[in-house]
This record gives sequence, C-alpha cells and structure tokens, in this order.
Amino acid sequence: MRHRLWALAFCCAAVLIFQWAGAAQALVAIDPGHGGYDRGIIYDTGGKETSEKRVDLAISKAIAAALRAKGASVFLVRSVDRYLGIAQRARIASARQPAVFLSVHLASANAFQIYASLMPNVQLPPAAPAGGNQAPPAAPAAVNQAPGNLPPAGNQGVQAGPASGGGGQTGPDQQALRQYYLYSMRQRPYLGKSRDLASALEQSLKQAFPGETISYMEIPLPLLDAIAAPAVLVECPAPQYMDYNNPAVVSGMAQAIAGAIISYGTY
Amino acid sequence: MEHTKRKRLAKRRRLAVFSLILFLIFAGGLAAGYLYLSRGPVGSPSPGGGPEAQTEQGSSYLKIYYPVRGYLQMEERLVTPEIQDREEAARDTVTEYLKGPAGMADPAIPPGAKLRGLYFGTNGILYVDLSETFKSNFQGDALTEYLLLRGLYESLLSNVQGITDVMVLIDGRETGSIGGHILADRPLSGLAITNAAGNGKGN
Ligand SMILES: [Zn+2]
Repeated sequence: MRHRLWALAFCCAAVLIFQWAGAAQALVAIDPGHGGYDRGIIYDTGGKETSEKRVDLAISKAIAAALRAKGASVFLVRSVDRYLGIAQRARIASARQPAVFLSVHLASANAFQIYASLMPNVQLPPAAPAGGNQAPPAAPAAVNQAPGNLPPAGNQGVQAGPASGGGGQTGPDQQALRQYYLYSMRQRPYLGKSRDLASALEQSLKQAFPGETISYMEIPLPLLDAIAAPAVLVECPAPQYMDYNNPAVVSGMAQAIAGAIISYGTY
Repeated sequence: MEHTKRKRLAKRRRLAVFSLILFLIFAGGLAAGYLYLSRGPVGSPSPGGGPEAQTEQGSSYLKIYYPVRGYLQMEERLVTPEIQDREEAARDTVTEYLKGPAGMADPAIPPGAKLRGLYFGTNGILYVDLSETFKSNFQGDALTEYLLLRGLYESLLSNVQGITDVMVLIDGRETGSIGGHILADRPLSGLAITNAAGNGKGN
C-alpha cells in the first residue's frame, strides 16, 4: 500500500514538473512595429511630432515587463530603434519558436484595432513522390525573394504555381514552389487559436478601457502568415487621444494586454 | 371593275409598305440589341480578355476604388479625350487614383505621389512604377496600407484590358513595404481576398 502511495506521489510530481518545464519553455514574442528610418505614422501632438516607432517600442517593453512579472518568458523582436523588414521580423521570431506572437502598432484613429491574418485557399503544387527530387525552399524565379534567407511570408493569390506549370508535375521547380508556399502558410493551422487570442485581447481591453472603440478584423498580413503560433497584431489608439507620456497609461495598457495573453491559456 | 382593281392594288401596296416598315423596325431592333449586348457591361470580362474603360463620345469613364474610412469606395471618373488603348487606360487609372477621392480632406493616398512609368510584363502582370513619395509620404495603419494597395489593384483590374495582376515599383525598383505592415515585393493579387468581416470593396 505504501509503495502504491509513493508511486502515485511520484507520478503527480512528474506531471507537475513537466507542466512547469513546459510553461518555462513557452515564449511570448513581442514585435514592436517599425523602427530606424521607418518611423511609422508621424502624429501631430500639440505642435510636437510623435513617431509611432517610439511609442510601439515603449508599449512593447511595458507589455514584456508585465508578462515577466506574471512569470512568463518573453523576448522582443527589436529592443532598440533599428529598422527591421517584415521578413526579418518573421525570421527572428520564428528562430525562437514562440508560443504566442504579438505585433504592436498604433492606429490612425482613436481606437484599438486587433488583427488576425486572412489567408487565401492556396492550392499547393503536389508533393514529390517518395525518393523524388527535393529542392531547397528557395523562392522560384517567378516570385521575388525578400531580403535575408527567409522566403517572403504572405500569400500569392489562390493559385500557388505558374500557370504553365502543368497540373501533375512534381519537378524541382514545383517542389521549390511547394516549400516556399508551405513556409508562407505556417500560420494556417493556428488561425483558430489566433482568433481566440484576439478575442481574449478584445475582452481584456474592453474591461480596461470601457469607453474606447475596440474592433477586430482579418486582413492579409504576411508577417503573421509566417508565424507558426497564435499570432495577432494590435494597434493602440493614436497619441492625440491617449497620453503615452503618462507612465500610468502605458502601464495600464500593458497590463491589459499581458493579462489577455496569460488568460488565453498558454501558461 | 377597274376601280375595284385599283383599290385592291393600293391596298396591297399599303400592306407591302407597312410590312417593310415592320421589318425595318425589327431588323433595327435586332442590330441595336446585338450592338448593346456585344459591348457588355463595364467590369465584366470582354471577348478581348478582361474589363476595359467605358467610352462615350470623346470621353471615357473609369471605375476607381479609393480607401475611405476603412473601406474601398468606388467613384466613376470621366476622362477626356477618350481612352484609345490599354496603356492609356492604365496611365489614366493610376493618375486618377493618385488624385484621391473627391472632397476628402485627409485622404489615405500619399500626397505628391506621381506615376513614373508603366510596363506590361509577361503572364498579365502590369508593373506600376511610382515615385518615392508614394512610400515616404504614406501615413497610415495596417488597414489603410492594405486598402491603399488593394484599391490600386482593383482600379487597374476594373479598367485595363488583359491584365491579371499588378506589381508596384518605387523609383523603378521593388520595395519591401510601403508602410511597414504589408509586403509589396510581390504582385498584389494576394491581397484580393475577402472574408465575412466585410473588409473588401465597399459600395
Ligand atoms: Zn504600424
């Protein structure tokens, strides 16, 4: 009997340790929009210029701090004022295999906008037969290669393949195209979870900012397309309507967003 | 007897004239119907492959889709003189698009943006070379940027015959993104998808 109790206790401890380890490994990627020469929207705030990139970074850092305070592991895709292209952002984030991805921007108007990606029903070229040609996932000649090694994220319409390619071909070009599109379609299995995350953000922001307009939308966003995790882009109200120089405002916003990520259930 | 014969002859002649008039009306109707139907409505595929601008006595109408308050809003623009070929149709479409919607104080179209050139590529892709100001003067969030590019794409596909896609160049070169949210280093057809949220074309 005593042995059985010990075995049960051991199993419970093992489950707890595994859960703790899983939570410790789960990362949240925060992507502050714009940076460097890409200043984002330039707002006129009482005769003074406020650039979106600066506010995006400030909010992102505050969200990261709030998440860390709640025990989450977080990393910022950019932590300084530096330009990063969309493909570079996807590459940096994907390399860390985050459990959640959040891109932070500002809106043009007095509203919170939450976006998930809208992806087309791309018809992939057929997979190569076993032992067939396996081409590297480089962009095909017909498609422009984004900077860096990462194939550009995003979508190319409903037919992924050259019109003259032929339906049943599985040659090197077709396989390169397939790999290329598979990379751009990494978000597809997570679209439902991304919508859940967006919904959690919407609820949390509604509670924290009851007077504000908060809307949800799905548009084609290539950065989110390339992320193999629940991924959303949030735009906070324009600085004419929200005093981002007030640390309490930034902290309150960060707490609401961090709370949504925690309640979403990754931790 | 003679009188009856003459009367009958006159009656026959009247009948013949009436029949001829009826036939002419019928034939005219057929011809008008054929001409009307063969021209087709604007925006529908024409036998030449793809839609084209509607022309009317020395002028042409263009359908332009502008980003306005989170939607694409269609405006018909009259251009004079009449558009002669698809290059003119493309040039006039982009020029009208860059002017922005009528009566908008704060348009999403970047101010000062100019068309530098147009190239009809292979596979039906139209390359639109815009000035650097299209990128540097853009001020907008993710939705505005998406609608800016999609509006240009929809406008060109509505007015230019024989094209299937549009690629934007800035100062003759591919650009990564116009506003940092949407990739513009590829043809724009990937943006032309819509969901139930209604973020596609407006009225
Ligand atoms: Zn932004």
